[in-house]
Amino acid sequence: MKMTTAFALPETVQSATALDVEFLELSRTFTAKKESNTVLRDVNLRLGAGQIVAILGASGCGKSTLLRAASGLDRPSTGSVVIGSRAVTGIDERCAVAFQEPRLLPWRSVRDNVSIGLAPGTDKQSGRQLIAELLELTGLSHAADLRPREISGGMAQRVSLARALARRPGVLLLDEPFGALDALTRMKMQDLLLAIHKSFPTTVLLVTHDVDEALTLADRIVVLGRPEGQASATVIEDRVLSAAHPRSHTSSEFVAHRTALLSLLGVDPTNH
Amino acid sequence: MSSANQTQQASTPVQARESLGARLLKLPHWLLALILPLIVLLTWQVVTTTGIVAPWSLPTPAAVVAAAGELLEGGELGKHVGISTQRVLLGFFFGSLLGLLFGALVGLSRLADALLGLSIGALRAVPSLAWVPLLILWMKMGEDSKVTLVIIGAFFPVFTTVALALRHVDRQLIEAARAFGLNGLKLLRTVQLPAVVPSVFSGLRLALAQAWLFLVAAELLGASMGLGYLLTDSQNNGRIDRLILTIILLAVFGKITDALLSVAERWAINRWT
Repeated sequence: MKMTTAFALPETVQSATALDVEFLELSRTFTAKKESNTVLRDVNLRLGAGQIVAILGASGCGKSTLLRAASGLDRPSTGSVVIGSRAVTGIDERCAVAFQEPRLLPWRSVRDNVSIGLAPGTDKQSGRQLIAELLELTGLSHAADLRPREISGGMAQRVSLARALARRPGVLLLDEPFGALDALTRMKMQDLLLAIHKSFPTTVLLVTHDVDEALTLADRIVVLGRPEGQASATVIEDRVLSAAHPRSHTSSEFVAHRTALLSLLGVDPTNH
Repeated sequence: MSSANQTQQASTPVQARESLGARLLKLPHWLLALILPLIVLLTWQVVTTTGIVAPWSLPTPAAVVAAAGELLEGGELGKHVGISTQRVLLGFFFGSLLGLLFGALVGLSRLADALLGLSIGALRAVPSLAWVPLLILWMKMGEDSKVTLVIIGAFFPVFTTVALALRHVDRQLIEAARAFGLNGLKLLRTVQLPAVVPSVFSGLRLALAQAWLFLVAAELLGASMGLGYLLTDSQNNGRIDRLILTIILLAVFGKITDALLSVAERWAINRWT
């Protein structure tokens, strides 16, 4: 296989395989002080292997809950998540997560933080090589020996991404990974993500509240929201985006999707 | 031009006042720290040699130095200092070790916290001196009773800081590590322990101060050697020069051991945060 992007990866970094993800009748109820609150109800979704799927929705509608169910960090109250052919029963080694905050260990260097992501049982030599390649890919080679407090927020978020990729995940779960970054850095990170995805066949589940981000990156956009008269959220919209990358933000298709999604989220599109 | 001059004039007194403090701060800090002790020493010298304070309530500095020389010559001072240091170090070592173990247990396990929290808190509320008669009855006057009291003293600061610090390790970091499959001992080694290293060191510093405190309590009430014994012995014999010498020695040794630990603490904070 011949790579032509600036972020081309050597053969050794190829993930095992991208895996498909299926949410089956998934509901999640949180109970605190005798009050129970059903955040998600009856979510049914099937995500194809290798796709970038964006989950959009207002705050508190269960976007992160859905993602946490896939990673095994949280268990659904009813229903299940199936990755590949196997259901998720706990922390799942086929997934890797990057959070809104970089969540790096302050006492470890950038390189040693990335190494946390290595799958258990990776032998030393190939682990070291993989990390060097990921640092190269994310533009962090020069910062490998720095501590998290010595690097910028954007760099820290790239470390977090590299850590997730070190797992060579079948499914990459991104929980608003660029939400805390400034607008320019965010756009660079979006380009980086697309470049990574091109040379790194993994299924990407991206939680975001940014409609433009979803439209720029995703092959498919799923909107979570509360149907009229209901207290819990579920899938209220599911759009497939077929335009090739890079996408024009002024094309009529882009604008039409944007207008529809914004009004679905309760924002008047004429103002934005 | 004229307005610039005015501003300069107006700000001159403020600048002068600031620069006095700033100039003092440019001196080495150890020099600044010695100013107060030197003033105390000087005052002490003046009030004792002029007779303002009678020699039987406060001897001259020279008399205290002479007392030190006398005790050193007889080999007594070395013996007292040696045994006291040994008790402090032994008690500090075992007390902190126990504090680390129990602190880790209570900090990591909700069950252990529920089971032990109340009892340890109640034991902690017992004033140090209250243990002495019991320890002497149980363990007689030997080393065991003194070291045990120092262990009690060193235990609580380490226990409390470690338990609290472990309970407050950044949940987001723990969750991220769990998401990558770390759990149990591996999680403890990779995230929780490194995260609490700086707190452990501040706990150790407090424990060391407590160790000296409890040591003197133990030696005051029942010992035939050690700095605490030297205090009671000097009191009984009216040797106020030795009394003051011992107090100064306690201050010096306490400060030296604390300074050593503070170097370690600074290294730890730099390394682990």
